Amino acid sequence: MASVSVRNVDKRFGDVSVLQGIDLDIADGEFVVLVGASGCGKSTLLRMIAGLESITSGDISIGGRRVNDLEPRERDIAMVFQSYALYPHLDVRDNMSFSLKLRGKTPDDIAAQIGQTSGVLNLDHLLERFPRQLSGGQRQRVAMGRAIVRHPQVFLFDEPLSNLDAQLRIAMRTEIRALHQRLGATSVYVTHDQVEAMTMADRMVVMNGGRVEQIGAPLDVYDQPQTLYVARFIGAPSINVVDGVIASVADSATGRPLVTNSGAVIATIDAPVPAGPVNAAFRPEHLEPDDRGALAGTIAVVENLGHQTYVFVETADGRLCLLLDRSRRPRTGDAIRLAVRPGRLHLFDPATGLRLA
Amino acid sequence: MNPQPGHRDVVGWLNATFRHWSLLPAVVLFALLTVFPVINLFRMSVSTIVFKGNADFWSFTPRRNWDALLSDPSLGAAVVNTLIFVVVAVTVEMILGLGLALLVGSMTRGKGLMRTIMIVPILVPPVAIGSMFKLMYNYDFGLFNQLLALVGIGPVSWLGSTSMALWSVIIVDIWHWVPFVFLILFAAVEGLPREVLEAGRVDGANRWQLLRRVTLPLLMPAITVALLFRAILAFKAFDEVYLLTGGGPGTASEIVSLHLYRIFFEQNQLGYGALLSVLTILAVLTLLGIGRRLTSGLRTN
Repeated sequence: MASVSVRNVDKRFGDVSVLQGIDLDIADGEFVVLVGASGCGKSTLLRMIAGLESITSGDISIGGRRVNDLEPRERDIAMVFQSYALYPHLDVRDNMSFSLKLRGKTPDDIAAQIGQTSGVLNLDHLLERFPRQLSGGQRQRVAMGRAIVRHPQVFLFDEPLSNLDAQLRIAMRTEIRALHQRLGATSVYVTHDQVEAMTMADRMVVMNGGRVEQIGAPLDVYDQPQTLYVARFIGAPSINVVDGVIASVADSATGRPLVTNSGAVIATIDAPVPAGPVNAAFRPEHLEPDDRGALAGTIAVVENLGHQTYVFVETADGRLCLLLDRSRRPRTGDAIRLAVRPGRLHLFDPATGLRLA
Repeated sequence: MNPQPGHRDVVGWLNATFRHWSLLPAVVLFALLTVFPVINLFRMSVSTIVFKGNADFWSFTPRRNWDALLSDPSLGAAVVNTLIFVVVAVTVEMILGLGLALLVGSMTRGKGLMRTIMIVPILVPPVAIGSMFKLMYNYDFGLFNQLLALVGIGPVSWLGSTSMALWSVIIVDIWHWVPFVFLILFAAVEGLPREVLEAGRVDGANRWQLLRRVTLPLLMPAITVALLFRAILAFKAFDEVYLLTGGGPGTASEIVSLHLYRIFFEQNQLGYGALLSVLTILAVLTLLGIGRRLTSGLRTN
């Protein structure tokens, strides 16, 4: 096991800059998820750690050893690919023992390793099969097994679950997490799925446009998004955002009013935030029905998920989403008034997208 | 006016069977141009045919044709030369074609240009290739001997010496057909799954191990196809030898297809020629069978 450190790393393909000034420290045994929309550079960063892409500038170290100029095979890493990338001409056993054979392990050693790993991953009955004879989920397991038998310093996952159907994806999510708890291996996991990031990560790295937007534990990122991008990207359904202005003078004892573009006063602000335009954001679970609420609208869509109900309300400040108890039985077309729960408002600078309060 | 029931039946039958009837012209052509000649060839191979006046006279003489085969003084040389030609030319073509395909496949730019250049030898008519190389191989003023003279090596009798003639022809065949192997294998190299090769690199394979344990097995189907095509075509090679050496000097570069040509068109031994043709077809078919067995073996692996 080992720590991974990424220091001021840039990546350019010709004139196109893909990553700019990435700094990232991954502790020994940590499970870090790189998450972001497609094209944000997360896979490129992972491939640079793997040694499959060159580093334009900056340093990457694994276990304290600078690996910039090392070939992938010299980095002692294992990688699980999105396409699984199993060797089609080898059966499951040979797929898994490939790296061990290259290292010159004895047949007894290899057999012991394979036996142990295939037991953990439930692959015992598939060892003689070829990749084309396996289902997607089974291939996924073999790819994991191929990585695990090596006992590498670092595991790299490049969207390993995105080719699976929804149910299997959720099951594998839990399984990978359990596997990590058992092996305790340093892992870097790339995904575009924020739910995967939230559920699997010790710490998540939200990336956007080749930069790191925020690094933190999933709940910290969820509760305290540092940029409007992160606030919007993390959480489903998405956070509500309304445009407004903070008045310069206090007209009540509690603070200055935050007035939305439609004229609703949704909160009073006592934090040291400069007066002027802001993006005010609040999560669906922090928006409540309130007969005296400042936001008025009609219910446009009701989504029943069983254990909870999301209600989309058309207001003068745009469509807002709130989480409702199912006992309230909301109906499409009903008029409703809403209030933001006090202290649950995130304020962002409209110009920079950075968090104000 | 109602059509009579019988009339309707005929139309219905024609309609129902039209798709079969529409194949008829093709079937007739196939029978006439392919099946009949092959049957006729088998018939010829057990016959002696003599021409008298304006007519041909066939007699059934299977023994005679076999005797002609067994007593043919230059057939042995032709078979040996053909085997040398096929084994050496095809082996070198496969190795060079594969090497080039891997090399060009790893180039970051200029792939299209390389592919275009490599198509040229395939486009040149065999007769042009023959005359071109005949000039280049010329003892007195040929390009090759001029180049050798520059480094102080005396002139080589490329086409005129018994030790060199077959090898000179093999060199031309290699020049002619490496691009063919290259094109087939290059397409396969371009289609290799990138992530599988990357998995190999991450798994600890160096360049050589990656080539031997991942790349080559993945290319095996394409390699087999190229090898089969080349082997079959090499068995039937004719133009290069005919144009460059005519099989000489003596029987130094005599190959089976050229020998066949002589028997048919110079010696007029139609029966014996047909027998030899049939045997050649059987040899190539055997090769094809072995090849199919090999590829299906690979596929179930």
